[in-house]
Amino acid sequence: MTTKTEPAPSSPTEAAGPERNDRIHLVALLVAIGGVVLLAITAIALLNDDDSTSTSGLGDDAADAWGGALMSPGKDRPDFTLTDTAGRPYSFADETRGELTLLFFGYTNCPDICPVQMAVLADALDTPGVPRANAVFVTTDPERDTPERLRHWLDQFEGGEAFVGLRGTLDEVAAAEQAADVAVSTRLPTDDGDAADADYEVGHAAEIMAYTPDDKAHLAYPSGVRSEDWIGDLPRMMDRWGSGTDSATAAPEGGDAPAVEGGSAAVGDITVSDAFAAASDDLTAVYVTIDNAGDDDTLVGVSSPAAGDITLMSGEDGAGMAEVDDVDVPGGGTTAFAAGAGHIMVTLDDPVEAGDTLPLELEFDKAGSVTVDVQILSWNAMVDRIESDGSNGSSGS
Amino acid sequence: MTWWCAASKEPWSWAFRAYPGIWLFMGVLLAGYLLAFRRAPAGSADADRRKRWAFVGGWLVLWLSTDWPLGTLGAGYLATAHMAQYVLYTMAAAPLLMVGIPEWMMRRTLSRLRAYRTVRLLAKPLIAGMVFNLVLLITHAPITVDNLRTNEAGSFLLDVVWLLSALLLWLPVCGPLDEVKPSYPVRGVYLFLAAGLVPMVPGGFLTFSDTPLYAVYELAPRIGGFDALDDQQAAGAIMKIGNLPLLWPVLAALFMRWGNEDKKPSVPTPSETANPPA
Repeated sequence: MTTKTEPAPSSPTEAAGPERNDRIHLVALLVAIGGVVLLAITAIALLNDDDSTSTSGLGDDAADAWGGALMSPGKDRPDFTLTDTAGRPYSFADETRGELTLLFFGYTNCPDICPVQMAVLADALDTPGVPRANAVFVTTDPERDTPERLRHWLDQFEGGEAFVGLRGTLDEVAAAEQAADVAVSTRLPTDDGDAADADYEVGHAAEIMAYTPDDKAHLAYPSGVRSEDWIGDLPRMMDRWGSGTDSATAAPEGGDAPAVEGGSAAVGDITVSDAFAAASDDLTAVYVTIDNAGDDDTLVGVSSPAAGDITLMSGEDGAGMAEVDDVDVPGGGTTAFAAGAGHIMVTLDDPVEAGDTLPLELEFDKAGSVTVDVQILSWNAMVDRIESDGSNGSSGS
Repeated sequence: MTWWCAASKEPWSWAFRAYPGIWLFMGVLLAGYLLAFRRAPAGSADADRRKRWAFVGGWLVLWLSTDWPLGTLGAGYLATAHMAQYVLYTMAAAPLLMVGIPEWMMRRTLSRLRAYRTVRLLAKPLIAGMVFNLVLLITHAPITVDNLRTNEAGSFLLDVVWLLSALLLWLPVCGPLDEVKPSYPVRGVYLFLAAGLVPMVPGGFLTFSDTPLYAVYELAPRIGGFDALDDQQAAGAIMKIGNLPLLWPVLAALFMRWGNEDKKPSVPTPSETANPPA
């Protein structure tokens, strides 16, 4: 309990003073705190903007710098074969040819660099919109890194189940390191010089080599690289050294996977094809082509078990888009929901990432319903796709 | 020799690490407090006994949250530990220290430092709230944390600024100077806004960010497979709700005192005492 020591007021007017002061104080306090909150929001938003532009790779001067170390000329994708954690032979060149691939030599007992490098990479690859990449980890400590231990260690990272873990004899690993043109790993003496000590460490290359679809490594990522560096660089690598195919849409196995066509399906005389959309957290526009070999029909509804509101958007180039209830699908023709002509706007229940599919049911007045798996692309891949398609269609009513 | 907790690239282990600078700081703080009682005014011993316990409690919390292991973890390994430290500083150590300072000690100290007018100005809720939250925002900005936590002097500075801003926050609420305390409802609203509401904004950014914001924690040696993003989100949650265990009881106490104050009979003025109503 506190006791005010100020003198007692001598008049009613004076007595009202402290109360009025309190009210003024209160209002001023509210206004000031509100101001601070607004300032804070603005400052943090600006900081975030700075972060996003510095890593977006969209071309401002600061963003021109790579997060990794640029190598010129690039190093060839190495050709070596080791054994994966399932005991199968894994030819690095054959399995990853033409695909974005990140190669790292390390070991699971590594106290510092390896877990951080892999965790940072895993965080980045798990970020929506980042091109999918093969992540290959070669253990430099095959003695302690059994297949089970290696698999378990990789699995602990976000999305680590997709990481490839490779083992071999020390000679095979050294040969792989030489093929990749990185420092050959070596077992380090312990502090007490006991070579038989089970707590030995292994000296190894700290950088992650990034191989692009042109089968070269143009960048190496040393220890200390952050996930925002990866997030900024990976799409730029694909833009610069990709073959025009986003590896996010490439088949996970084999090196000859073609550019993925959008999902397709048919009902009656109607074929729905080339369905694709961009990765998004909440809202995405689906583009799709509808071929009708029969009589005139009408698209009367669209639904999805993975989405809430879905609206058909139609409009002419430059005239703006408008929501429509249905879309004519003329017989013997093609109706395309294409950039500048129309799209299907989908409010997602959950975020979708590049490589995912989104089931979409299209209901036609006469032909009935058909479900097509919409291919989810990274933003860059979708932009490329739209540009390559051009304005080749028109939407209905 | 490491004097103060700072980030290092050493893998984490539970092996004890000594920080003589922290011990020295804590020793000087406690010794200075206890020695001041030698010159306590006569008759203040009973009233000061409870304050002494409060101060020692606050001092202990301050020490535990600054020294190994929490201080070490917070300086260079886990954003969660960093945020736990901050909450302990601001929501436990600072109010206890403030409650533990007797009025005569505060007045004497401020007088010697010629800082009374400055402190009185800073302790206005409007200013104290703004200062506290500006410190919160600035000291949790990634650029600040990444640059200060990586060296001992910077880490020391960060801890001291946290402590001073938290003491300022609590001065108008439970400090020893009655003249800087507003009425109970204003105190309640002040505390709710300054310590409860505003921290939710940066806490939200930490929670909902897609990427780790702090390089120092993202690139720190991992502890038990705790992912950097999960760590940051947990830190954001601590910033948002870690203050609640203390904040709400204090707010409740303030409003109860306000209620009790209204129930008390008004004190008659001298003229009323001299001329009682018929």
